[in-house]
Amino acid sequence: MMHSKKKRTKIILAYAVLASWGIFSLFPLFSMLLIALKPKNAFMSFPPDYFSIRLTLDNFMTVLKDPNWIGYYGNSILIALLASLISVSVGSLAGFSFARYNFRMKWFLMVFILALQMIPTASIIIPFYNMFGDLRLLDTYTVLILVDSVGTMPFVIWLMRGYFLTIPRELEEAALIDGCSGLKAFWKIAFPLAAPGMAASVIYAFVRAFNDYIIARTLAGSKIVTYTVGLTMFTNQYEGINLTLISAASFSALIPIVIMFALFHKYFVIGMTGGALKG
Amino acid sequence: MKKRFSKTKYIPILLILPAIVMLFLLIIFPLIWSFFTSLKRMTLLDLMLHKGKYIGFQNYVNIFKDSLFWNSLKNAFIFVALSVIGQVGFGLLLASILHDKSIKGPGIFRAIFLIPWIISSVVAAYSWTYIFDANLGFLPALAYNNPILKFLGFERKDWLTNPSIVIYILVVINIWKGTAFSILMQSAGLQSIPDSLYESSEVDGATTLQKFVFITLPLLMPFILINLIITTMITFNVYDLILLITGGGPNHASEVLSLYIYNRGFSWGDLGYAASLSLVLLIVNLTVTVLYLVFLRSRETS
Repeated sequence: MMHSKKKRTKIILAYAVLASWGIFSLFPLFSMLLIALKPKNAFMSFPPDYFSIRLTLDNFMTVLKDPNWIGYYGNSILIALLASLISVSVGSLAGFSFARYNFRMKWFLMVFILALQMIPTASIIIPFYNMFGDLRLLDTYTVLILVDSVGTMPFVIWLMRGYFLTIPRELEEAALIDGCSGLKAFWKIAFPLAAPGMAASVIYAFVRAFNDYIIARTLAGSKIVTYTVGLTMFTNQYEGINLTLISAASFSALIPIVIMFALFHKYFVIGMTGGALKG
Repeated sequence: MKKRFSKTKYIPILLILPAIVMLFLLIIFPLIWSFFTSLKRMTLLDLMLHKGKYIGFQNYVNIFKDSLFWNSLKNAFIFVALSVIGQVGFGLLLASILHDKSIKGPGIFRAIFLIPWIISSVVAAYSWTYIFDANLGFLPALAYNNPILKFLGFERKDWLTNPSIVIYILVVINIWKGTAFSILMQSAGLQSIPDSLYESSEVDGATTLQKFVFITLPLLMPFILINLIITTMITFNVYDLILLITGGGPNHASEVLSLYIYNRGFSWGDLGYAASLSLVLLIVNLTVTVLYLVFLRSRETS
């Protein structure tokens, strides 16, 4: 009796911690949604009107009808799609090689690649600016796609290597005996089985590239504007009434990512935790 | 037969080649370039005119005399240390709770906890700015005429403009943003511990705390360590959030090293000096990693 009562207290305490962190996690988004639903004059005097029920969808309408904003948003999706495609296709080939073959310098290369992930963007953004300036590639899709894809590649290589290790190699060996080439064995056997790991990698690489701000702001931003840079432009474009519009725009930008995670977060969690940390 | 053998020999290299080429061209080569830039006196204008004069290690000498550098290094250590302790600590706590079999619906909690991590730092920055902003903010509005919050000191309006508290507010925001990653890592660690260990200790009558200290913690140590290293690296590089919320202000009070590099390079236009600072940041990062590894080794041998 004593025991079960103690246990119940412990469980209540555990739920209290989880609920608190949940509220903490969602609170800024909740207050942002509230702002997005307010008419602009709610913030003209102090204290701002957060707590009345005067709500409107005008801000969302303005934002969603703004062709510039739609364009920025399209840029972000295009760049993130291509960058994650490059990162994951190139990265999983390397990950497969590290998981399946033994060759000279293998461990050196793997540790070296991991070390690359630790180089701060602040350390290479200046030479990027230099290099791509010389190549006349600043403010193009190419530069953002290339830099974004390389940014996630080391992690994707490690994640995919871990994932391929969980797939029994006997399956591929059987295919090899049946006369498949090594690459065909990869394509027909290992690749489909690694789908959850791939999904996790694609989500990771897509979200990182989609959400990037510093690179998009520094290496582009006048001709090619992504949604993150576009958000900061509302500040200048709509001086004075920016708060409600930025909130509505931010919120509309969140929706696809949150939906993607709601659908795939299980694979993501399994892929991230199962793949990245294996041997 | 012979042909087949030599073909398979090159396959592993062929498979990693695209990755190696891209990583070399887009990380290693720029890093080398950065070193040569750091030996020059070069501004944004010089860059456009393809000028820039070699001045040897003068930029590095100047770093030691630069009080803004020391200020940003101090801020970086405060920001990184508190963020890492908070993220790994809360990550461990939340992952442990979610791992407990008597908790229902861990998937829903996990999904909610992931949200701050997956949203853009621009959106995160605006949402928190609007909470703390003196005239528009949610918190000042909430505390206005609310005796309890007033009593607790929440009516203040200078959350982001008071130099002595702004860095701690940013730490809270960064813990909010980054803890999900630690939850993922620690969950993976907890899953790697076999249940049988807990079951046998329960037979011996161990309490929850005892189980945590004597079973969970030692077995989780490798995961905690790698979590600490990765989070430290990531946090040294968090400056987009700070750039958008305070820009490093007021009066450099929240300017961490990575942000100082960015501001120095792109606001002041001192590309050469910023390049030398960026290599110092890299050395700081590597030193911290080595310290962690030395610490782990000394623990394992003792």
